[in-house]
Amino acid sequence: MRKYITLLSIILIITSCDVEEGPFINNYDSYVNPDKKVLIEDFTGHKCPNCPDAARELDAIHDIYGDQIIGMALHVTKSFARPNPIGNSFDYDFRTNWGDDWDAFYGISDAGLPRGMINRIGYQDESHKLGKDEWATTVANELKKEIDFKIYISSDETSIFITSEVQNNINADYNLVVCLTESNIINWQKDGGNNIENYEHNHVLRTVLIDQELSNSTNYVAGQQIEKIINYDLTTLAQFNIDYSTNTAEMGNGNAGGWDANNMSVVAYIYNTTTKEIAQVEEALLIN
Amino acid sequence: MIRKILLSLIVLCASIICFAQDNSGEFHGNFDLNMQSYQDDELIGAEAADEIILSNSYLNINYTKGKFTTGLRYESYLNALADYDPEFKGNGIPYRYATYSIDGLEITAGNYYEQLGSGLIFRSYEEKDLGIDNAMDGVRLKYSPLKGMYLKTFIGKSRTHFTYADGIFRGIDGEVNINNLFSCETKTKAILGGSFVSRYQERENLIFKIPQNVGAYASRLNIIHGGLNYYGEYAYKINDPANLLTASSMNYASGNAFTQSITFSKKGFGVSAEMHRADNMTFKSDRDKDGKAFLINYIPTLSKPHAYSLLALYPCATQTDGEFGMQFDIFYKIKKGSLLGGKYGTKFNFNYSRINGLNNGNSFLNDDTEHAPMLISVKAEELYFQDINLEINKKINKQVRANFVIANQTYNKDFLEGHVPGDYGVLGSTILVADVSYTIKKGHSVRVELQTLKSNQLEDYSEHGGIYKNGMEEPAEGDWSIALIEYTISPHWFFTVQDMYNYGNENTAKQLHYINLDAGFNKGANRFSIGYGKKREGIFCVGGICKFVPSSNGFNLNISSSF
Repeated sequence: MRKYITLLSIILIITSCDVEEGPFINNYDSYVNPDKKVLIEDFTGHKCPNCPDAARELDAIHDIYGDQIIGMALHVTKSFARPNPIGNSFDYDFRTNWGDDWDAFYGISDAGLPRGMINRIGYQDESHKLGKDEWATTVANELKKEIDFKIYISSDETSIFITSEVQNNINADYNLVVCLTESNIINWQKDGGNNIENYEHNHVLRTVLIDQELSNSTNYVAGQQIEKIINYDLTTLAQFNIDYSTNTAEMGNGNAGGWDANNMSVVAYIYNTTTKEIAQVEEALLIN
Repeated sequence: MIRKILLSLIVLCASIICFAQDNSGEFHGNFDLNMQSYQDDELIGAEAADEIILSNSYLNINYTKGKFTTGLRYESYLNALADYDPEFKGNGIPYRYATYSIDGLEITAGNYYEQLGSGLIFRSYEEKDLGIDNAMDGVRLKYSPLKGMYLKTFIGKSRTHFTYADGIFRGIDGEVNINNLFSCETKTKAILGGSFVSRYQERENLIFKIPQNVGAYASRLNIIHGGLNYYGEYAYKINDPANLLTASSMNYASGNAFTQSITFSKKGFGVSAEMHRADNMTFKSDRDKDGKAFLINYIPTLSKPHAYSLLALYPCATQTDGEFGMQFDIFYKIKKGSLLGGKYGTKFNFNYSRINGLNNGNSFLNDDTEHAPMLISVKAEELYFQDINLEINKKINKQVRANFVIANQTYNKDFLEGHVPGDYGVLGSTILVADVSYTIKKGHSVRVELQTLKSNQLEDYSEHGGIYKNGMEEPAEGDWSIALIEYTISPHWFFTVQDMYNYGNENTAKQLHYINLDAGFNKGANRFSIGYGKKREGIFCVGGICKFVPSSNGFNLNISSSF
């Protein structure tokens, strides 16, 4: 009899489940550190039919947390990002040298697209390659963290000024990365069962201006300010991508120019060179 | 990892010492090594591996003494073969268990595989060819309180690569063999079963309600009457939305599936009819993860599993999110001595299968949208896959045996491989296979296999605007042929040469020969084989579960052994 009672108890325990009934909107309140910002690197491709779902999820996360979320779309792989011959649909090459390098280093597309990294956390235990369904939870956890740096960006037509302000006493190796992204690019994109001619591509990685030591010392003191000035020339930078597409990227066609400075943003972030985790990130329009 | 390995070995040794003191137990096991070199081949798109050689190997050791069994599996991926998930990396003992039975109760602690019914709501299994191993880690009890009554319950987490998914599964299954239970010796036998499984996963979502306990249940009935066998199963899963913030992607619809089959067989004749429907039945061990490693249920495919390469070139992957399928099989053996049967008889197998989508897609429910597809809808729905084939097997004389297959297949490449309609289109294939074996003398035989596949595009995409023929976005692979010759010296040696030729590729630079050479040696419990060749990029499926196989060029070595 005891066996039957045990089995009956097991049945009662496991038959509980949570059927959710509408309305399905939750009213969840969560702590968010207002100074913490999060970079979502969305590895994508204009020939990837499922990738716009990830872009929409990034937008939804941005809608909730506002400017604390900074997006970056990196078009990678021969399968999903190669361009068609010039003059046809899908003839633009969004790929960059840095996007391809990061994809290879972090092994993102090997796990299938769309996929992304949230502040590059989890690199050391290989849990950094996140499907879009994992982004919301990871972002929520990330936004609870305290910050070690604040970043201030300003720019003019030839230079970008970055000021990194240390918030705590720290001893670690950090690098500063400064990139340019472009939004409102209207071009082809596969989206589910459709080829969309006028798809709006946002925060597309265009170039990486620097990826260098934040300081030549590993000791950072609260209140310390580190300034960098980066000179840039968009024509030269765009030509670099055109050459990359022509000469290096698999099946590239050199159609990688046509940048619009008015739609470009500066994205600057500081990352721990050991863990690869991005400690802080900031974004500002290139032309204010 | 080293600590885990040592711990597993200590547990195994302790178990063996405790239970083998009179040294009457038995050890069994097997070993398998697969090694492959990878070199660049621009024409077929193959990439060299940084490591040059990749390797997967496994060693199973099981010890049994009376009603006690324990064992482990050592796995090594240094690094994993290119067609495996890269998350399989390194060495370890991810599978270890101990089981004992006493007075009808079987207790398993550690890892175990389990399936409830036909797997519609839960299947934990290993399929090395696919790189799937979602073994459970936890506790399982099986108990038979009465003759003809079987109960089992379990709790555990599902393996994903070298770790475990977030979800905790609790399951129970009961099965009653009516005839055995009531000691009823009738010609008709009936078996009833029911199962329930629940996944717990902690989740918060800023916007949407997310169920933390997701339950699914299934009931099944099997009736056997002489040569007639009926099996039916119905499954239901409560809402299981993804943990997203995109309102339009949130789907709170429940899932359901059923499978029905009826078979009849007598000597020389068999017929079967099967039908299944799945709607929103993807059940994962972690709701946030994607990929086959996280699937925890199994909807069996309704297409014939072909062994010949060109018949399996475009295989059907089961769409657990939504599909309706049917399959019919007829087996018939023409008697010896008749006009068509000849001296040894002739076997025929006709098979028809068809899988299509649900009308307007799978069930969908959120605050803005509600959709439930019709229960059964065939004719007007998007065709995913269709296969009509006839196989004739004939022993012509003592030396010659032949097998012929003719098939016509429809493969919705765009849908089944996740492309936009018009990228590759819907492929129609007519395939012919001739397989003839000839015994030269005792122990020496030669087998020749000739296959051809004629491919055509079934949909008109001329208005689509793509840059290839028929307005396609991508070039058609077109027609294929295969010639294979295999020489066997029984019982030890075999040698195979195969040429797979894509002579119809629309891209003339891709009209390539994929040549493979293999040789093998068997002796006792050991088997060695070595090969060299080029493999085409494609989809490989087992039972409707598929994986992408990248193209490759290189040597391969396989060693297997058992004791």
